[in-house]
Amino acid sequence: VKAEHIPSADAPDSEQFIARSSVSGDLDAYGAAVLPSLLSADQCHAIASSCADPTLRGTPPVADQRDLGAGIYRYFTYTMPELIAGLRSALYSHLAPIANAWNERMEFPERFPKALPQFLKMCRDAGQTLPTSMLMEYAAGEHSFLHRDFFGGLKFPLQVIVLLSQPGHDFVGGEFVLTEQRPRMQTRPEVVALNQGDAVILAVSNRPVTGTRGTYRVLSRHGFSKIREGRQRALCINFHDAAA
Amino acid sequence: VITTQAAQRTDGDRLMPTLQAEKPLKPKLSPAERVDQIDWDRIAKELADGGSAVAKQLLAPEECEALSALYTQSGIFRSRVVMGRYAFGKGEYQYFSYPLPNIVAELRTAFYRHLAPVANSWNNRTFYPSEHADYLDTCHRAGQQRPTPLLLQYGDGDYCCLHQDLYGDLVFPLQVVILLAEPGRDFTGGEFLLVEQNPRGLSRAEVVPLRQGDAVAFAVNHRPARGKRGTARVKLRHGVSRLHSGHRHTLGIIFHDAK
Repeated sequence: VKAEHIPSADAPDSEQFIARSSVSGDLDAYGAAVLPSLLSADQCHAIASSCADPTLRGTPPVADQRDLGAGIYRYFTYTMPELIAGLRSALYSHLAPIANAWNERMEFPERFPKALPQFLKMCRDAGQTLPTSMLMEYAAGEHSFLHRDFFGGLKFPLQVIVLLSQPGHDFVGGEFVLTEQRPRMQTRPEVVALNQGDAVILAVSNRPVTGTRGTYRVLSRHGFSKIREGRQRALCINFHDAAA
Repeated sequence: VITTQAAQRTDGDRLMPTLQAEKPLKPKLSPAERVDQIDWDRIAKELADGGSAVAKQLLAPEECEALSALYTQSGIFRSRVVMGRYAFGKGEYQYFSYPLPNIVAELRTAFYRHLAPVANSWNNRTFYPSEHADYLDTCHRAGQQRPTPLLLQYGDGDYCCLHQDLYGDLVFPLQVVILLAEPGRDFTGGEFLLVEQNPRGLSRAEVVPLRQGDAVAFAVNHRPARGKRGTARVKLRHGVSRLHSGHRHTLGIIFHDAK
C-alpha cells in the first residue's frame, strides 16, 4: 500500500492510531470521519482507470444493491487489485477496535478479529463469499439513493468511501450526504466535504449514540447528491462479503 | 450592486447550467418587482421535475444584511425556538409577529401570486386563490392565525434536522427560503438539503447550492411525480447540514399560517 497516511496493517498500535487521530471522536460526534489525502491523485487515477478492468462485475452480487439509483457500479471480484486489497486490509486493522467497541455499546453479538483474513474466514464460514466493494461512477443528473451497504448475516459496522475525482475540476454537485434516523426524533443530515483522494469512514447501517437515558442506535444511510456537471468517480470499500 | 456581484461569480458557478440561466435582476426594482421578473416558467418546470428551484440574487447583499440584523431586534417576533431543546437540531429561529416587516410582507405576497398557479396545477382537490390575502382569510377562519415567516440563525456546529413546515390542516404546498449569508465568506458547511422519498420507499438527498440573496422554492410536504403508471406522490423533507464555521441567517417564507 502506497497510502502514506495509513500505518502498516501489522502495526501493533492501531488502537492508539485511531485514538490519536480524530477518527474515533468524529465518528462518535457526527457518524463520519474524514481521512484527508488517503490516496494520491495518481493512485486515484489508477483506480478510476481500472473501471475498464474486464474482471469487474457489471451487476451487483446481491439483490440488495440493485436499488442504488442511476450511475454505473462495478464490483470487484477476488483476487482484488493489490492497491485495493492492501487498503482494505490496512483500514480493517484500524477499524476493528472501533467496530468491537460499537457492537459492545449496541449490544450486537459479533466481535471482530484483528486482521482482515481472519474476518473473511468468518464470512466464508457463514457462506458469505462475494465481495461487495465497488467503483461508482456518476454522470451529470445522476445520484444515488440513500442506502445502507449491508446484506444480512455477518456484517462489519463500518465502511470507507474514497472520492477519486476532484470537485470543481472534474464535477460540480455530487455532495456526499449521510442521514441518521434516531428513535422518536427527526433525522439528522450531514454533508461530508471531500476532495480527491479523501476517504470518509462511516457507519454501514447503525451506530451507537449515548443520550441522557443511555445508549441508543441510530440508523444511518448515505448517498451522493445529484451531479450537476461533469463526472464523479468513487471507491467504496466494504469489509464484509455477501452470501452467494 | 447586483450586476457587479454577477460578474464576480467563479468558474465553478459557470459550470452549473441550472444556475446560469437567469439574467442579473435590475437593482432599482423593488423586491416584489424582482419576484415578478423571475422566469416563472422555468421555476414551475424545475419544481415539477425535482421539487425545488432557485432564483439567483433576488436580494442584494445590503438587504440580506439588514434582514439578518433584525434577528436581535425586540418587539418584532412572536416566539423564539432553540432547536436543541426539541432535538430539532442545533441553532435557533424566531417567528415574526404581524404586521410583518415590509420587505417580508412584500416578498410573501409577491411569491404567493406566482406560486399559487403552480400549487393549483399540482393539486386538483384544493383551489388556492390568486391573492395571498384571500388565502390568509381562509387560514384565519380555520383557526390558523399566527404568522409563520421566520428568521433562522445558525452558528458553528449548528444544523437543522429534516422536517416539514406544517402548522395545521391547511397547507400551501410550496415555500421559499432565502439565504442571507455568503458561503465561504460568512460560513462553511451549512448546506441546504432536500430529501425526497418515492413510493417505493427510496430516498434521494439533494444539496441545493445557494449564495447570498438566492431564493429557493420547494415543496412543503409532497410533490406529484409522473411515473410509468401515472402520478404518484413523493414525500419531501428539508434541513440544513452542520456548519463547519461562521454564521448563517436565512429567511423562511411559509404561506399558510399556524394554529
